[in-house]
Amino acid sequence: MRIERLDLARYGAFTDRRIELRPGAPLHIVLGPNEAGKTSALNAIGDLLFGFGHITKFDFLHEQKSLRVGARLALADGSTLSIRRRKGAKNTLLDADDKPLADDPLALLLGSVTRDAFFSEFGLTAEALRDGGRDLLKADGRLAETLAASSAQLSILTRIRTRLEAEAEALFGARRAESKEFYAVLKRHEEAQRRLREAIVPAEALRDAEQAVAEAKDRHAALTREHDRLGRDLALRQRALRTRPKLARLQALRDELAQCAGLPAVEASTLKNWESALAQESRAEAELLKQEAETAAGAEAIAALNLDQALLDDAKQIEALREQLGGVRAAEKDLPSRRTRLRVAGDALDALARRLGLEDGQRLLTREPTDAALARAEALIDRRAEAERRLAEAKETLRAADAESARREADAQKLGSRVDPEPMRRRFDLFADVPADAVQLRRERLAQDRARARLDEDAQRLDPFAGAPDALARLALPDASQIEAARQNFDALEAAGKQAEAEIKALESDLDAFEAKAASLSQAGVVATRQELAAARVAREAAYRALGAALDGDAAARNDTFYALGFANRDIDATTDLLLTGAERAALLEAARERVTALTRKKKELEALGDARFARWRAEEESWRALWTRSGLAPMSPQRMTVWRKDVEGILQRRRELDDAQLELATLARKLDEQRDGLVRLGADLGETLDAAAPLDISHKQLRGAVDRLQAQWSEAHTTLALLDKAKETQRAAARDRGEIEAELTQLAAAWPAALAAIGVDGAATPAEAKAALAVWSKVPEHRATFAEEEHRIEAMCANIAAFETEVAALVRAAAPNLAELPPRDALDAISAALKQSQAAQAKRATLLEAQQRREATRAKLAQTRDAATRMLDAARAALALEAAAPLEPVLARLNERLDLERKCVEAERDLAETADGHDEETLRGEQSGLDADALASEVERLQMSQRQVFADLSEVLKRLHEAEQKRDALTQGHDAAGAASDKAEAASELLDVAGRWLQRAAAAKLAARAIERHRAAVQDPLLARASALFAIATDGGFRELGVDYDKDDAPTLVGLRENASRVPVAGMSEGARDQLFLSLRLALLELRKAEPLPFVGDDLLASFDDARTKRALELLAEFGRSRQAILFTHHRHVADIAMGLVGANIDVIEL
Amino acid sequence: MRFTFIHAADLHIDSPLAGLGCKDASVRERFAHAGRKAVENLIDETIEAKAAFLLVSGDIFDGDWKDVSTGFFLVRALAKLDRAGIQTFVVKGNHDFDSAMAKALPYPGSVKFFGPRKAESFEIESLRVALHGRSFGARLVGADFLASYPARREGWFNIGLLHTALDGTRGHASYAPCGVEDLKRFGYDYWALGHVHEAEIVARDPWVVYPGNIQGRHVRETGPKGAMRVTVEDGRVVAARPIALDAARWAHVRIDVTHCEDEQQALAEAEARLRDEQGRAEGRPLALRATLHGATPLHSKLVARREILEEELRAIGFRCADDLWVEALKIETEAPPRAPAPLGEADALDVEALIAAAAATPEFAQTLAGLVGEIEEKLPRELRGELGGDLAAQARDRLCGELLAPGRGA
Repeated sequence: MRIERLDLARYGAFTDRRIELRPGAPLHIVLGPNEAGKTSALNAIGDLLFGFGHITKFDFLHEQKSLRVGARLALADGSTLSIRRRKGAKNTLLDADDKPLADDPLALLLGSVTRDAFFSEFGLTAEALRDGGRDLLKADGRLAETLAASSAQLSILTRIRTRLEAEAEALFGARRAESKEFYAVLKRHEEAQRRLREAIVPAEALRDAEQAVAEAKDRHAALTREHDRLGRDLALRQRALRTRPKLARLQALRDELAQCAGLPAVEASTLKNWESALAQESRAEAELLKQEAETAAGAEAIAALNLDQALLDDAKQIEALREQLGGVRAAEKDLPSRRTRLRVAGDALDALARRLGLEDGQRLLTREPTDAALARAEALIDRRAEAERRLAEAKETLRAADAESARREADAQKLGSRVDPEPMRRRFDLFADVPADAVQLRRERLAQDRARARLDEDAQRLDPFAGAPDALARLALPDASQIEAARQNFDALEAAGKQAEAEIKALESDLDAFEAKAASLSQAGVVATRQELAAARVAREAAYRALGAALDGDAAARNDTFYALGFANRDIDATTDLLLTGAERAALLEAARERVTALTRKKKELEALGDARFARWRAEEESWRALWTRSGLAPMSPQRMTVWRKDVEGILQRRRELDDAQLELATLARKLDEQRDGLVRLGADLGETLDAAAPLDISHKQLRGAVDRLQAQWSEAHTTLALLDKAKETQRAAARDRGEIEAELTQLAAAWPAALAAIGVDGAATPAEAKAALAVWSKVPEHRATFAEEEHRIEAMCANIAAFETEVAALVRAAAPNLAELPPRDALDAISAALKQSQAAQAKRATLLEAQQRREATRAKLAQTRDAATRMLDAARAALALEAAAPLEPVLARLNERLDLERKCVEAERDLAETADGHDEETLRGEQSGLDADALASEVERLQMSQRQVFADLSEVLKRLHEAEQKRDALTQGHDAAGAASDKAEAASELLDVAGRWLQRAAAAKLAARAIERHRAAVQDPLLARASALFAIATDGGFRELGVDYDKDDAPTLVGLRENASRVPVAGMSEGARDQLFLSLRLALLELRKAEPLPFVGDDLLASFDDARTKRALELLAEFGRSRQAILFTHHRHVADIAMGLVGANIDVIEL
Repeated sequence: MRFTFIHAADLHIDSPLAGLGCKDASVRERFAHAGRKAVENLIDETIEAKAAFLLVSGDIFDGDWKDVSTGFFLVRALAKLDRAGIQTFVVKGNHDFDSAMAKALPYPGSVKFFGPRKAESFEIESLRVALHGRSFGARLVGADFLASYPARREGWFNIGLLHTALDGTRGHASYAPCGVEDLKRFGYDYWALGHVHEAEIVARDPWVVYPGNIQGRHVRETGPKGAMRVTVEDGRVVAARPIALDAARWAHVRIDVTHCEDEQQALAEAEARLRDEQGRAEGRPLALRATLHGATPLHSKLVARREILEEELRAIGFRCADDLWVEALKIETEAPPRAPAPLGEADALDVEALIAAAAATPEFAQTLAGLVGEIEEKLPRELRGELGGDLAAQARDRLCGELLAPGRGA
């Protein structure tokens, strides 16, 4: 199929655009700059052949339903087909009149090719081309993968296979490894299986467990019975041991009691009462005697007491006087100091009177002014003093203001002319950039000079040296791509050389080995060869013929010939024997020799190739030097020159940059120059003379000083005038203040005499004198109060002392006239002492009388007790049938004895009952009747031992029982076997899942390998044949053809054959050669297609190619285009130019 | 007189459920203990329904299950009924015969087992109910197994308990074979059958009923599982209603993707079906298998991306409910028929044809057999032979699908 015409009726930005593709042209180049619709045209071909997709992006101009793309197609069978395509769900293929076509004529033509397959197999982009080249490298020459790489889909299949293999490897492998998922799950499965086995509780296990429980229970019951029996026996004997002595003691007590049978029955309490009465009677008698003696002694003591009743009667008055005595003594002690204070206060008042010019204190007190008069006088004095102070201040201020005003006046007189600096300032500001520009100019100049020096140095350092930078710039140097091409050629030659050397070395080593082998084989013994056998056979034939000829001859001749035949036969037999025996060795020798021959030949070939390579090297060197002829330089190696070229490029670049910078500098200098005149004129106006030779920024600085000075003069004049105004204002204010204060002082002088007279001061006194008088008056009230208080207190104290002494004298006269001679206070003390003595005697008598009364009462009570006891004792004697007054004590002792025995009997019975385990006395005696008392203790010991043993057995069996029950219960509950089974099922399910996933991946990977291998088998021969031819064109004879070698695993590998028959593996090809190889393989594969041929569409395919390679690729595409259609879309005009320059290529260029 | 009884069968207590392939322990836990929970539900339901008695028509245990604690679990469960005053009548099935651990369990007195030698009868005087049944005494019983069942007791409500596959048409091996007609001849009012795991009311005159098993154990036992609640009034069955007792549920949805344009549409359909099934499970944990079928151009892509889609579907499942587990996604779609090559000759560029041809070779079949052998050798014995399916077709579809998939190769 060839597209002869593409109609872009309504598609993308196109409307009724028609592209004619001339049938005879082997290659169409559709040239369109970006945005010209190249992508639209490419997609239009896809949409035409395979229909618009679900979504289109080419409906931005035309509505979706009106989109149309059409074509006239020339088919392989010679017919043509005109169709149009619309966007829609079905019946989208139309005839030339826009009518839907009943059948889809394209379906048959396209077969299995999908839109994706079309663009990936029949279309190619520069990027896909580079990817293809890389895929070839990855295939490492292996033929199947290399051929697969030529198809886009098969190369994807190769990658899928690699990935699936890796995934499968992670899931499973024949060797068990934890890292593989399969084995991790398998481990879980095994674990669950083990747990399930352990968790299952079989019925037998449960039966055994139940049996163990039953056995333990039986044993427990038996031991319990034995334990009970032992317990009973032991209890009987222990009881016997306990109660035996008690029973004996009880019996003894009862025997003793029987001897008291003759005594009358007397209650224990009665007996106790009698004994108590006997004791009371004797105690009361003794006590009565003691009381009587004490009463007599008390009466004597009372009689001996001495007391004065009269004094006792006056006791109250005496006490009262003693209390007053303290107050009197204190007043007498206080009086002198009070009198002193009275005198001091009087003196002070006298002194104050004198300070005011009065005769004494009394006079002072009569003239004391009121508080109001004092306050009025004080206020007036303060106001007058204040007014006088302010007047003095006002006068001083006025004087200073007068002086200031005069000074400022003089300053103002001195001021010169005043000029506004603002216009000058504005003119000066116009030159604000000058200093910065001047500095920059200087700095840049320095920097450029330095850079230029470095550039020269770098140029000097270049090896080979090619002159100063300027000379360098003029030099005709080869460009980087030419150097790179040369470098690649040299690299390739060097690599080939190294490879050849390695091969020759390997060959030589093989040769040595085989020669050694051949030598050792031939030395191992006589060896017959097939040639020798053949020679022997020829000899026999000759002998045979000779015999035949001699048959008719004489016998001697016959015999000779016959013997000769015999010898020949023996010879053959010997040779055959040798051959048979040494056949293997012979074969080996033969093979070794053949191999030596072959290797020698191969070595020679290689050496010849080496020579050719050397010639090629010389040629390359020649052209390398020729490349540099115009520059006149002697080049070093291409690697070195690549670096050199880069260095030169760097130097030239820096030189260009320096030139640009210099231009900018000149502009700046000119700008500064232009400003100089302006500055000079401004200087003249400012009265400054500028130095024409000085740098401009210095002049600028000078003018700035002038402008600043002008500004300072202007500011100073303004300040002076303002200060003068202020001084005059101050002068006026001070004069006004002085007048006001003087008026106020006049007013105060009028009220002055009256106010001062009120405080006893003369009207002519100054404020200071008046203030002094005020100070004196302020001290008077304090001394006046002290004087009055002390006077009053002294009088009262003297009156009290006199009254006390009068009262004491009256008492002495009445109560103790004998003391009248004593001073009243001593007499009072003596009376007080006598009173104290009488009071003590009175208290003692009262105490003695009270004791006498108490004893009387006690004696009466004792007599009563004694009488009651006597009566009870008389009754006891009657009860005991004794005579009156007969002694009672012996009878009472006997009765007590009997009572004690009875009590002991009761205690012994109780004691027995407490230890008899509830048995009564009779039962105890009964159960002990058969026991051997002496053996009891040992019996108990024996039984206790048995019991301990049984108890230990019982504990043991109980423990066993509990364990057995626990085990049984645990078995009944189970060990979650169902859970373990579930886990196992889970692991099994997962295991099958992993296995399934692995199988699918492993199978798919194997299938991919098989498919790739089938592809190779199917296409190898025709594909390689055609690709060889295309590759030769693509490399412009660099490679003659493609061939197949076999690697060490005997797998076929692809190699390129050079013109000189050297074989270059794919890995040994340059990247560009590999790209060309990929393109050749791809185009050959497309040609191989049996179905309707489809056009090949390249999309900017050669974008990364240099001109030479582009040219060869175009020739390759044109070669393809002779049998199929080839269309190349590009936006590189040079591609079109190169195509146009190809002589005889007949390529059409269509501009979009 | 009116009374209710519960008819259950095929408890298969502690028979493990099939693997879920689920890594969520909580979901697995709920499934692992679902069988016992269902039995507990049966007991609770019987007590709550105030049932007069419980019938169990065989296969209480799994024959090869040896853990005796399973038996004690049942004994404890039936003891609860005993305490509630409810009698239990049991015939043993083919699995029970095999079960060594089930022999001589200490059942409470209210649990009656029918003997194996010939049919026996129990009577409940107060309800005037006669029960006739016979336990399996051997793994297999002959066609005459039914012959010893006695004639109906006139004037009483007669129930026959029988573990049978009937005519064997219900996907189960022919155990105790007989036909519905054979059963009718006895004149009983209700035949309480067991053995078939799918619930079914086979006939209503008389009532011949399979209650199904009480807990689905794998993806072939889908939908609600439980027992039959039967109400009898004046000697006639007036209602027989299935009651769901299962504690976890299985479901299998088949989704026709013929009309789906892409995977997302297929997944959307699957999600709708998932939600539907989730609603039906009434709060039970649900294990669901989804199978895509139908002829679609997506076929090979679906095969290639099955695992990814399965993961997506599982995520969708968890989005619907935290205990909805997608057990597996199966792809049973097929590719639509392909137009034959125009020249009848394989195209060098037709990679799919190349793959298909390579897959069809006997050498590839041998390679596959080798792969299967390689992994089966490492699998536990009981899982060998489980790896089935048309592996060649899978490999072919996988490769073609990978070729179509976006980002292919890398």
